[in-house]
Amino acid sequence: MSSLLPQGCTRIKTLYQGAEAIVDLCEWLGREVVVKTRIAKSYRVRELDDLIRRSRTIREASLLSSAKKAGVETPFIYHVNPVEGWILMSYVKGESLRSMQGSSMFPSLVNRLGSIVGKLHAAGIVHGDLTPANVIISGGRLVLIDFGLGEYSNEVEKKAEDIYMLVSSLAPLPDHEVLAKMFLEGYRSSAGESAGRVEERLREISVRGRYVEKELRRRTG
Amino acid sequence: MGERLTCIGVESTAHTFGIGVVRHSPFEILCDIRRVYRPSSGGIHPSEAAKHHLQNASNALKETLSKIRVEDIDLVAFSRGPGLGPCLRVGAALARMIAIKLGKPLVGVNHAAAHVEIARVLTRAANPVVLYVSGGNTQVIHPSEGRYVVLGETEDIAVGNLIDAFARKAGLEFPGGPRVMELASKSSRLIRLPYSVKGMNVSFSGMLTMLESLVGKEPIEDLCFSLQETAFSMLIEVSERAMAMLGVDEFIIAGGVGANRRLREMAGEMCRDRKAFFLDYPVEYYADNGVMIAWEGIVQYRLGESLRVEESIVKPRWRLSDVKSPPSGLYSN
Repeated sequence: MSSLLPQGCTRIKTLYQGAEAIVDLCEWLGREVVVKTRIAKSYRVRELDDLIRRSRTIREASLLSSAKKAGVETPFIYHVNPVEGWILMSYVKGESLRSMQGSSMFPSLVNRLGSIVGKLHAAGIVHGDLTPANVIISGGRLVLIDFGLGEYSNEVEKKAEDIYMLVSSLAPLPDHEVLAKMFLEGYRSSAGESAGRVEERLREISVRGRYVEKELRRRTG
Repeated sequence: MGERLTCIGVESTAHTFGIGVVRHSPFEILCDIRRVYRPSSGGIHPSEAAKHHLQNASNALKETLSKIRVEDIDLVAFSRGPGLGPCLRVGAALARMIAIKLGKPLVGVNHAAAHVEIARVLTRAANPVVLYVSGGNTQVIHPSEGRYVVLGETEDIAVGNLIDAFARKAGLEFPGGPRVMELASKSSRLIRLPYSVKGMNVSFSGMLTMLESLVGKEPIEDLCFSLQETAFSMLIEVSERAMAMLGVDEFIIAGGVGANRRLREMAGEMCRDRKAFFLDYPVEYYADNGVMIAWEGIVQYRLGESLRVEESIVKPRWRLSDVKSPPSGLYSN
């Protein structure tokens, strides 16, 4: 399946195809950009489908921009079309944090990511899909991408879930305990007063039985 | 594959008292008796339902034994949970009695696993994502590596509970599903309701509150239509997300809400769009029945499970993630 691209865009390649959206690398006005398009679903009645795609496109664009205002690096938005369900944004060149696993720089990157996530949470934003694949290292900067499952929230539970997902994805690594500690050190430095309660909730979540989804991610991811 | 086995299964989780007999291999349904409790008012009253099951247990067993030869039974299975305690105990008591009388092994079966496995054997699905939807359950499940991984579920009430509770408020009889489906087919006007999807989880309580507040203010057909379109879109969306994440191209629905034509139609469309396969099967096996308990009894027995009568206490809160799943394709014939 391919998506209808915004005018003036030429597809270079498809970067990712998920259940909800297609992410294309494109050329636009002589530069490389990313277009994320939410796919129309024929199983949903048209009216409902339009509504969902429109509101999610607006929310994602808004989160990307709010995060940037809070000092968290995210792609620049060039253009949004909620009716057609796409966001046109800057292409962040670089390696994903996932591909850096095992390198000597990895622990310090995880520590920096902790302070970035702290900033994000302090601004009342949760990412919703915080895995090393959604962190790009570009020219020495750490850039967060894909806010498709994100939301505005100050709930301790949601913030703790955000961190739990990241910590779980590190679990297969031999030094995961040190890494988790370094992440939390970074987090504490910027998350503000709620950091303590979030960490406490994180410990609670990790002994709960029902988070099977994340268990699976740990095994596959 | 092992020896040929014939299993008698007793279902009494909620409103259905069922006895089924299944033979394997090859898979063959020998008998399917059902007695369904209809509440006099409101939803299920557990003790009233248990009384119904008790009153029907002996005639259902008699009817079963008129259709099969009792000497053929190798195995006795019962629905051990999750479900309503008083109801489960009736089926368990009958199953223990049969097992003792015949001197055959007793197998306690997980009701949710039985729904999944009857769907798998009827569709021959090798590696499906399963949407399990009923009055008490809403889960997205992937059977893998000897266990059931629950990828997503409702954070509050089950989708069947949403439908029944709304139907009750609107004065429709229990169970609400068939009437809601019929009324929904007469409308195409969408009323905006909360659409609550978080990752692979869903939530329906906000939708129920809003629907209840609109009863009497909006035409009932439009409310039914909007409920179905919104709730089912949420369920299909999380199912598709699970399929995409796992790279799975088979999809099945299990549980009573699967009897809804609109839900199955949406499942078909979702699969067609992503070049996957929605595997459907005869609608009577979506609802609770004894056949699925008998079949799951065979599956679990072949995996080495059986119970001593003394330890066969029911488990009303037995989670699916604590059950062993059979290797894919092992029981495909």
